[in-house]
Amino acid sequence: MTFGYILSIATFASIYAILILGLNILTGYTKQVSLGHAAFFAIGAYTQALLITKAGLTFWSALPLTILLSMIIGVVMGLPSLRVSDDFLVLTTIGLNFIVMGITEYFDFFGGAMGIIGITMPTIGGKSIGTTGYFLITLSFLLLTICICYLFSKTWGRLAMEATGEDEDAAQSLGINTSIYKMYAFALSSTFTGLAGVLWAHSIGSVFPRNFSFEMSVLFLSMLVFGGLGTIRGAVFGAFVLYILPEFFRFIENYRMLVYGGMLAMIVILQPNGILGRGGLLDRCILRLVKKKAETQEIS
Amino acid sequence: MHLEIGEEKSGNSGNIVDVKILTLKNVKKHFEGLRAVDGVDLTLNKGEILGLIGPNGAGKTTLLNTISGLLMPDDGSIMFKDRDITLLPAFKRAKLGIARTFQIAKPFSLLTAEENVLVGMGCKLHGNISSLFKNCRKKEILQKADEIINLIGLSDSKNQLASSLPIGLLRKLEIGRALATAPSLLLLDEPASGLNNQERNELAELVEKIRKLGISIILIEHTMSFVMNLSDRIVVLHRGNTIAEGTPQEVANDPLVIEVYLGTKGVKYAS
Repeated sequence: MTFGYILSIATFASIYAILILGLNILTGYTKQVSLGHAAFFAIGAYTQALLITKAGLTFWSALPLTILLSMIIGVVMGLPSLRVSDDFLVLTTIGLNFIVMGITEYFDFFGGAMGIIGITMPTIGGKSIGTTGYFLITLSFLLLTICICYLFSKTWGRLAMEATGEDEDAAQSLGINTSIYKMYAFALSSTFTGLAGVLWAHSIGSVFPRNFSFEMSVLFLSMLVFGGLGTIRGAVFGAFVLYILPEFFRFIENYRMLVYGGMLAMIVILQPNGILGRGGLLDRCILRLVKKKAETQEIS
Repeated sequence: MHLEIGEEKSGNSGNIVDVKILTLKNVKKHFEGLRAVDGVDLTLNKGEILGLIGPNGAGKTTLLNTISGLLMPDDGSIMFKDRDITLLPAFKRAKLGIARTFQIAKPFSLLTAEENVLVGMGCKLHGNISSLFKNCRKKEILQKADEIINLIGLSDSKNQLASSLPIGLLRKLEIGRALATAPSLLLLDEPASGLNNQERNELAELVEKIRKLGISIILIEHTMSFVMNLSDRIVVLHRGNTIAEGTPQEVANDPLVIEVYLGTKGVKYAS
């Protein structure tokens, strides 16, 4: 295993962790299950790609525009989802995924099936930064995202979103306009997912419609559910484990969907809050260890 | 717009003030052919505990839902503190000072008990884009939450996830969460169901404490001793209509009420 290979895995794992943190706000907090998050990922990646290749902007000048646009499109795409819930919401998000894929595939403006190539690596002070530099940029964005999500977890906003997700009637009876909070969740979620799209587009250097297929959406949801819905640690853990593990199990590549599907079913049945989620298997183990350590320290 | 919500505590706490806080006029709610609530008139004074009783399917919960805004009445009007709230959505009514609990407890199970109370405390803030990113774990906010948690007697389990609490504590948590919204009207939908005798007594004490805060209460309950002891006035619903109204004693001796609901045995329990 070369250093470059490890670096590339770490870069992609960090990008997915940012995306899953975004998905966590929508699916973890407001419990709006999205099986179309690859659409939001695509919007970030394609917007950045177009701004770089067609408008001639740089990574840094295009980034804020892309993020803003991701947020706006996220809200617009969230609108039809307000009318539906549960299974119908899942179907709607799947639909959104196929619509976005269809648009990017059939319109020449988006490069069609040939995609958009030539998305250059960002530069700092006119100098190329290389893969190490890009990894550091990605890692910084991941840390920034974790910080924002951590701060957000202490806000009224997160409480209201979780209340909305758990029981809309109860939330309404406590002064929460649940529709508004679902929209907020879509906006925040698509912002982080758009950011992940940007970072992904630059690290690959090109975007194709097939990169943002429904299978990717399934992978994203698996990552979040595996790690733990509604927790930051679970989202990051799920993204890293489910991205890195398949790299070691390349021989089962063809059965990937089977493995993900089976695992998703097992987790939902055995660990509904995820391995590292609230009350999950690892979560309880860690809590027990911390307690034991505190006790032994008290004794000594 | 200035709103006085919940803050005003009656001078001689616990006493009923002859000020109408809630007035229902000819409220109707039909589900296709079923007339769940069929023209109910109801008034509630400030500081009063009104017991709402009746057989299953009498329309008690439906009536409560039309007051809290979960259901919109098909006809009639609902006035709350001189304001017509008939068409207001539930979350706006909550902001005006109507809080409620649910027949089947609806806690936010993945939040801790403390966080459940905090959700209620944010009642007036929820929805503002500025409060979306505001810290809710500031010292003074947590202190106030602690007061409510102490009042409902949940200090020992405030950091536990609501999903791990037993039903007795969940009922109290729901009341605490509703109280946290600083309401002036509290709607309790069968708060004593599923509780044992000791838990029921504790709950009765809690309801008394809440009355002393100057909060008016509408109480739906099937446990006769519980509702008869607590209520200042009782309204009996049957098939969507009011069939009797008066003090607990009057209602318990009403022949029609005995026939449709209490039965001869029930009167013994009630008195």
